[in-house]
Amino acid sequence: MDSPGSTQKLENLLLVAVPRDLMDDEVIELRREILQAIRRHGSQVVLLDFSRVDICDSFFGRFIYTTSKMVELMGAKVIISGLQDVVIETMVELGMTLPGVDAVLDLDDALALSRSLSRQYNHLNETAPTGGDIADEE
Amino acid sequence: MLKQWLENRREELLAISLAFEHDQSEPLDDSVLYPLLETTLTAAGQTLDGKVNPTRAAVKIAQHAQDARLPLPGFIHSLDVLRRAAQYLLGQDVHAAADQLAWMGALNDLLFLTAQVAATMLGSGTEAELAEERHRLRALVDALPDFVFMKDRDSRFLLLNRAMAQFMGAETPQEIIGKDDFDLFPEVLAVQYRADEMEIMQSGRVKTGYEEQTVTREGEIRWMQSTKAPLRDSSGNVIGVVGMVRDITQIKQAHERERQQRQIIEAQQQAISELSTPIIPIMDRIIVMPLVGGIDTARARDIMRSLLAGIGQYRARIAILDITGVPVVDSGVAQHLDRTIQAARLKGAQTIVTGVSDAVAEIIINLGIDWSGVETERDLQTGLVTALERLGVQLTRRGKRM
Amino acid sequence: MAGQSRKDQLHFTIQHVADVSTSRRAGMQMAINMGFAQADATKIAVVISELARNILIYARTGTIIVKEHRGLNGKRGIKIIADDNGPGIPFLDKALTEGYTTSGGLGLGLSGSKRLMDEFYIHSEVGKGTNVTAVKWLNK
Repeated sequence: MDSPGSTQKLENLLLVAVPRDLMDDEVIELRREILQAIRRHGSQVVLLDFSRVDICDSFFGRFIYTTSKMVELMGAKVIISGLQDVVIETMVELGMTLPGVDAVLDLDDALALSRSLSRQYNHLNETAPTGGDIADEE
Repeated sequence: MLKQWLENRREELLAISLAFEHDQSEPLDDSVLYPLLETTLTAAGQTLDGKVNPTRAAVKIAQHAQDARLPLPGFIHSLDVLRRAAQYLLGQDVHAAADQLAWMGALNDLLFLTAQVAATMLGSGTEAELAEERHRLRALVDALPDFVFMKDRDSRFLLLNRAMAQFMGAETPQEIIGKDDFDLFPEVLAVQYRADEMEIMQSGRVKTGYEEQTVTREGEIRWMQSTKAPLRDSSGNVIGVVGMVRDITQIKQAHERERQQRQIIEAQQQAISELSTPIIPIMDRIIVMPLVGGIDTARARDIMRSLLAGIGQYRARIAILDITGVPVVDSGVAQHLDRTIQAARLKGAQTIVTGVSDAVAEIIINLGIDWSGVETERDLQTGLVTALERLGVQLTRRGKRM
Repeated sequence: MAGQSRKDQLHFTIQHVADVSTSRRAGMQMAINMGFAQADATKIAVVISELARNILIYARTGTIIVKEHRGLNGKRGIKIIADDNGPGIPFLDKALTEGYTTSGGLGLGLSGSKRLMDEFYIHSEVGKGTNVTAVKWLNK
């Protein structure tokens, strides 16, 4: 499963390598892949890794925004990482600051975040066992 | 007669003044350029045939532009196009020619072109016409400040203008005619000139706007920009070369001075930008960037780049931007800072802005700048404590918690 | 698909999403070859991308030309010309306002692109089409 992007499970984290040129039809496919993987693995954090992307236009912005909304609906959270400095500079000047989307510096930080979130989640489960049920249905 | 003449003139003058009013800042598109070029070529052809004078040709082009209701070009632009057309007629790549000759006046080029074609047309027409043609050509080339010449296959001067003769230390052009470069220049230069001209005659191609050195009679080295083209007879055989040479020594010197100044300025700017955007790693994953002085767009960009690089280098999770030393915070500065903060966020670091004085706080609120997402602290010390807390580090003093 | 391209000019017919990436990649490369820094080349690529997408979304088909540009004072730059015969932009002022969109995008396309370039002109006529011409100078 490596087209268009490749997803990989790492603890509670779902690692998604966003392809360099993301096209409209691929977005739909990639998003479906992400949602299925969340369900399959019970991932709580989806890390979109942008280190391969060197041109990030508003279409990417929309992709990140809608993906994060959909992922939220499934009780998980999207974080991004790996944006190159020149890409960030361009995004910010374009006015595309992705409000509400968290970024982390690297995979270590992503893992730390996902661990702290899953501690909160476990804590939540202990006190309210019916909350946030994302059991595997397959 | 005079009245009629004035009537005609008025029309031209009107067209020129109208054309001048056009917006020249708008860019010229190829779909617009090429029809214009066609008109220009026709007009240039008519000029060469003596049917239209150069001013009239330029006006015609400006009129064409108006008639076609092109959103552009002014008179200047027409001249610009005319200049390109002249180069185009010489068989050159338009863009390359424009590159080489960006600083050249349009009319000069056209005059040169006229001279060249008129020269190659010698031998046609009646005796009287020929004499008239010669006279006009002579007047034309002698009026030019640039050097214009024709040489035969052995690179001996057939024709040259007054400016060139004077440069070579001759009273009149006649003194030079029949001589070659070996008679007139040091051997090393003459060899080079001869080689260039041989190449042009053999290839049949024009050599445009190349730079070369020469020496005056007094031994002073000058920089020249030369255009040389093969001279053909009526059946198209190459019978020599024609050339136009311009003394660009002053321009070269000016460019050199400019280049040196630019180097110095760039070096200074580099030094200043390093000084003005320092990154200080405070402790594990916390960096501080103290900003001193005004922040304009260029500096804001340096700050952003430097901060992003610092975050990457020190794996910072928290960046403290201390603005104590920024004298004026207006909406522009606030917006620049906001972009920097957003950029740091997208890189994966949180920013704390410290040194927000009462006055600054007031400005931010009064200007309606939304800094609700920005964490601010009074001073650097408080900011540091907040940063440490954020990372789960607790400061203790003599066993007591702070 | 990439159309005929002279050495100093790129010409693209935009009619498929693939043309978006082809044109922006080629434009970025041209900018780098001309000596633009990576950050500015990235901005140029993003603007080409935004304009190409606008053509696809609103007009379905159009052209993008990217070429070297020289100002009257001899400054060098890169020029992007986007042309379509689509429906035109009815409220141009609004379209240039941040956040305005009629297609469910983020609405940053035009206003954002304008910020990324040094010069930006839009000419649009409802029912006839839109022409955007943008320039970024190499050394300001």
